[in-house]
Amino acid sequence: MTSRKYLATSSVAILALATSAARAQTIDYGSLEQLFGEPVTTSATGSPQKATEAPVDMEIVTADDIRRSGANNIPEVLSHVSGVNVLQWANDSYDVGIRGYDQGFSPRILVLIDGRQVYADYFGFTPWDALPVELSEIRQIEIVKGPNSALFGFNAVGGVINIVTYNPLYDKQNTVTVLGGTQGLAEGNAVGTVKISDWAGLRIGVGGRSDDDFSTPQLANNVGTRRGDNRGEINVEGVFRLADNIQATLEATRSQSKQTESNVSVFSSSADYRTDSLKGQISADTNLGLLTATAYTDWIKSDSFSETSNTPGIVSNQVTVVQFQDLYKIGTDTTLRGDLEYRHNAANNSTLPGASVFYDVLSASAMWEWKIKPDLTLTNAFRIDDLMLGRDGPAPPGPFTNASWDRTIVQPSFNSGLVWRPDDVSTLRVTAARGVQVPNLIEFGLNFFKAPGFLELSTPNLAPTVVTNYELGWDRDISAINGQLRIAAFHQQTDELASIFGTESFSPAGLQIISANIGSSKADGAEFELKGKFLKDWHWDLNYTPEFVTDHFNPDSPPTVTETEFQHTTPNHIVKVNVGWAQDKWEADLFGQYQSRTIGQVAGAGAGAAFVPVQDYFSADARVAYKVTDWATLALYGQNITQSTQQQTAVAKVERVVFGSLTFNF
Amino acid sequence: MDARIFSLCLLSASIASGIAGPARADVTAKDVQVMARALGFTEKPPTGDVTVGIVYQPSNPQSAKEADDLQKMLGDGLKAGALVLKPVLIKIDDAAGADPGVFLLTEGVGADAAKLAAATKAKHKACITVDLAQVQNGSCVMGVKSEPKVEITVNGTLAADSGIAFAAAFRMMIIEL
Repeated sequence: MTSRKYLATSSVAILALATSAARAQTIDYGSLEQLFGEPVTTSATGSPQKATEAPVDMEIVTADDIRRSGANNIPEVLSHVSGVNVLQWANDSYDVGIRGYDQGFSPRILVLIDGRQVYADYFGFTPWDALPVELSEIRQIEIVKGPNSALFGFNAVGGVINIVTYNPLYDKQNTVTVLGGTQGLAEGNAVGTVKISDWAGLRIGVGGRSDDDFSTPQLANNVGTRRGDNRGEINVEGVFRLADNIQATLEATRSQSKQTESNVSVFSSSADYRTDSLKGQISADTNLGLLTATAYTDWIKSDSFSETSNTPGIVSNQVTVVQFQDLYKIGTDTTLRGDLEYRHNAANNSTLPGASVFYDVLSASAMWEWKIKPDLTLTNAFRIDDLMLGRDGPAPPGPFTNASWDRTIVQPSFNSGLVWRPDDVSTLRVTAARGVQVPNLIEFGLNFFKAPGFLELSTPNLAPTVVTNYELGWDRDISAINGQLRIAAFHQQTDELASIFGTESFSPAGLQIISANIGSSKADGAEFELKGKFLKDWHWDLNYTPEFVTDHFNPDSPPTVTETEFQHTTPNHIVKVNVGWAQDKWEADLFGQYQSRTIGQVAGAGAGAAFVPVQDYFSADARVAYKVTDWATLALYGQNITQSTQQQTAVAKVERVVFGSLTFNF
Repeated sequence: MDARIFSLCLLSASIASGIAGPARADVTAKDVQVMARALGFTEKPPTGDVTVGIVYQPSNPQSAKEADDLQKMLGDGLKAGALVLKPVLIKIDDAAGADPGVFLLTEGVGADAAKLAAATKAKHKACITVDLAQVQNGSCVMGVKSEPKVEITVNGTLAADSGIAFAAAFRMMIIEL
């Protein structure tokens, strides 16, 4: 029997033995949220917690928030959240950062849907337009600020965004929405839920969108192909109650997206994505704790130069993950989580046919939550990842052979948090964390581009990027405003920053560029948020995020390494405001954002790399909705409504977007 | 840490700490809703109509008034979560002979509440209260506070003696004694 089969067989046997004493259901987000009157999350420690008691700085965007956001995609929803940075490159192309460090193909945020990674490992980014989920099937979006590698593993360094969908066993969600508007927008999506008695639930989500890209002028040194979006996706999730205490989940997704995007070099280019995934999970509430076994495989295929170049740039990436977790409460004060994980990640690039770069990761993690007193909780989580890198197929020209990739990387990560609630209205958090960002497969050996007098390669010798974060947070309910004040201050240190353009050398054959670790960066910042309600029908939210970043590049790093310049590309000041009103059949919301002056990279790396100033700006989004009947709602949306065009990044200006929707709820 | 960040945080905290938070309310309809939803996380959650035995001390005006108020609040049947709660008044001295779906212990019963603990152990029925002292001293299984934030306290020993088990996820989100 192979080790993998033995592991699976043993786990099933343990589950069977442990279920002799039936208990109640496993985690039901909806019922727990209704009970505690606030969102519930497992994204902080793996253990279910009230959002206000999580030992991390966290924002939870609820389904109501999403509906009222005036957005028709996830990055636009996130753009209204305190501490979240969103760069809009084109009509449907975004990158998202948390606490700055946002860039083209932003690698620091691990994005998941129901715990399944949708972060694209091969280039370390999230293809937002290709995510196989519709807004109307999302229960909540959980945003963890700062590293959380001790729970989620590699790449959860700047933060984690976990998109939690409705559970078809508990939640009935049936909607159809059609949208149309400027830039030729035509969009439709539908979500349907079928429940069979109380033992099975099935949810299907399907959606498609077509629109045009902005037509604002591109900078002369960054002219690339622009085209409209063409997106489609379908996802199916079935949840089955096998016994009172055992649930099984099966999920399959497919998506495709054709759009304009800006990659790490901020070149405007066409990109085609095709993603598929299969996931199975079984969980049981047993005498041995809450046991969960999960296995999934993600496939992603991208063609990033599909219409603009004769050079094929087709990358195929497959990630397979198998996890076992036990969550167990001992006595009255202690909750423990143990987790074992195996991950296989492999990718190939059509620029060097037949070659593949891959790694296997074995991971073990543990979490200890100790309620020292009812109002004082200490949480410690630790994880160790053992990565075994490899490469096969034809070796690239240059200094490496396939044997160069035979190396192992072992990295620890941790999260510690002390949460004290001195009274009924206040919560104080002190946290420390170490997260690890593994080099993406392009940086790690998959990059290969050859032209006369020019060779671009990547290396197996990169060190992982390590982010440490120290934070103090304080939340206080304020009855005078029927709301809350939240303050957080953080210090974040990033070491071993990596760049795919990290070293330059000249030889008789010409210029050779190889990826390398090029320096470090530190950030000091804070978040201030005040929100409340007034006159029964109104709510408001005002938040301010100051942040100051200092980069330290190695003396030998070439000056053309521009994509890792964060000191001046991270805004020093961001202010966001939201005012909302709801009465009877009407809802109205207005969102504003001020961002201070930054600079932005244009025209990629190498000799043409440059920065240009991006002046400070104020942008606004809005939504007005009218409920025509109990089951039909009309809404009008506006994005970037203050000006017809606006410079928000160093590439082409964004345009005002206006659209309407008709939603049917069944 | 950057001096500008430190100063801003200090200033904001100073202002906010001088602002009063919300006050604690007495037993409310929200408390009752929380109680009903919490019952859904027991090993054998009740469904449909549930008789709520409102246990009170006739000699204590506070307890008697709270029982009366609760009876009026529940009326002919109050829908709470998936349950319809129907009240019946039970004097503390009669608790041993009563057999409701769940006991709801009023405040002011004092040391006599020990009689109720004996009844819940014998009948394997849950007892819920907003009087957290009765949970701490082992007279009632579950205490509920719904303002300003929902907090649930369970006496694990009494729960076990009463044959009441809770879902693992629920146990991780409450205070157990």
